[in-house]
Amino acid sequence: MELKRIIVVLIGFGMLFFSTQAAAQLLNPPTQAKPAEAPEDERVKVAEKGLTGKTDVVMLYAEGLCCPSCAIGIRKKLSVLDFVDTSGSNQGVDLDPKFQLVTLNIKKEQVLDAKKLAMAIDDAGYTPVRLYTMEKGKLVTTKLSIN
Amino acid sequence: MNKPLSIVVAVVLLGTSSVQAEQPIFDEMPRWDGGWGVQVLQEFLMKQEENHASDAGFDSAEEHIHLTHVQGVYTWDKSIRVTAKVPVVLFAERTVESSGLAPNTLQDQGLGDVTLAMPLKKYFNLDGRSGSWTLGPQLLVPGGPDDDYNVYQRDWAGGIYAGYETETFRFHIGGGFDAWYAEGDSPVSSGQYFQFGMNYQIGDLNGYVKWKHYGKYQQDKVLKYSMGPSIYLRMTDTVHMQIQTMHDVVAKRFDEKTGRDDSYRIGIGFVY
Repeated sequence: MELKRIIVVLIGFGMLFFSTQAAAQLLNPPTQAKPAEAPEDERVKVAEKGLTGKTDVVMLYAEGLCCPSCAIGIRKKLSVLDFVDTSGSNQGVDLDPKFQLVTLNIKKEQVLDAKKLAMAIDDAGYTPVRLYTMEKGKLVTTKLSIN
Repeated sequence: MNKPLSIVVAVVLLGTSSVQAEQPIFDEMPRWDGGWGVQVLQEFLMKQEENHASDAGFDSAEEHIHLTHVQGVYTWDKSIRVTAKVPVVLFAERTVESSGLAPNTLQDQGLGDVTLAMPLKKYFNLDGRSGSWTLGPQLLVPGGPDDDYNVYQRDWAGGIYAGYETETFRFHIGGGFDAWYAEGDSPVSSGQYFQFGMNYQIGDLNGYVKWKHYGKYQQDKVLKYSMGPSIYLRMTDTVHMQIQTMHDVVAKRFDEKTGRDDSYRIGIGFVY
């Protein structure tokens, strides 16, 4: 009798637990079918606007960056890189969860290391996807990889 | 004639409130390798109990409890962390009414039962959505001797916790359950929680407003369902705050008692 009650309770709770996953899927169907909060073309426009007229600034697309609290680690991991200029506000690292973008101030005449950027994003718990830079007035997109 | 004090022992629950179901820091952080944090919660619990048993030891009881929870987390790798939850009973008073007798008041104070856990997390990142699966063993360590009145159960217990949460820029949804097996009477208990809410951002400040549901079962003792709001605010990268209340909607006790609990909680957390 006791074992039966335990099993019933655990099954009931398990079903309720998995129903939360179903509900979450309903909130956001498979990514192929539904664009994100901010689709890539909008993200590119924001990156272009954010980089125009600025020097020593780059932007990164960190997939999954939806919550500024959870993404505090991105600021912590990026701000310790030797080519990041932390003298400005937010230690030179601004987070935009709506577009999943990170704006990074780079020290003057420092060479940016894309692999270190990617590894820092990964250590923070997110997926590094793309680096946006402005070269001769045009937006340049570079794929980021930890490999 | 006075009823023996042993009959007047409170119905204590394994893990007094929904605090048991949540992971520091405020179920949000730290997600990053090498991150750690500490949070301090002040919880005020109001409990009411009516005894309908024919061989009633008492008629009704009321408890007022003030707890401080000190909780910490260290994240070695984003997939492995260790947490510790240390409750301290600052003040607890249980007043028992029995027909024909003067009210009997019992008090408790001191260290509660400590929960140690090692949640294992698997994060996933999608375009515009992020989340995690969590699975972790838990251990409950008695914080003191078993007296006539204890806010905490004072039994060793082992348990497992599993959870899932996901969020977009605007919405947040999650749930989980834990199951415990303790020494002593009524060894089996489990809890389940479900929450959904909205994220907000005001300038450099951000947070969430959630509605939380919490279900609790303890063998031969109680089956209850509570719900309430939770508001979280990130003030800086280091300082975070939360206010939460939980109220019993359904509370069925198997030993012919009924009762409802209300919890009010405010907390501050520091993350590094």
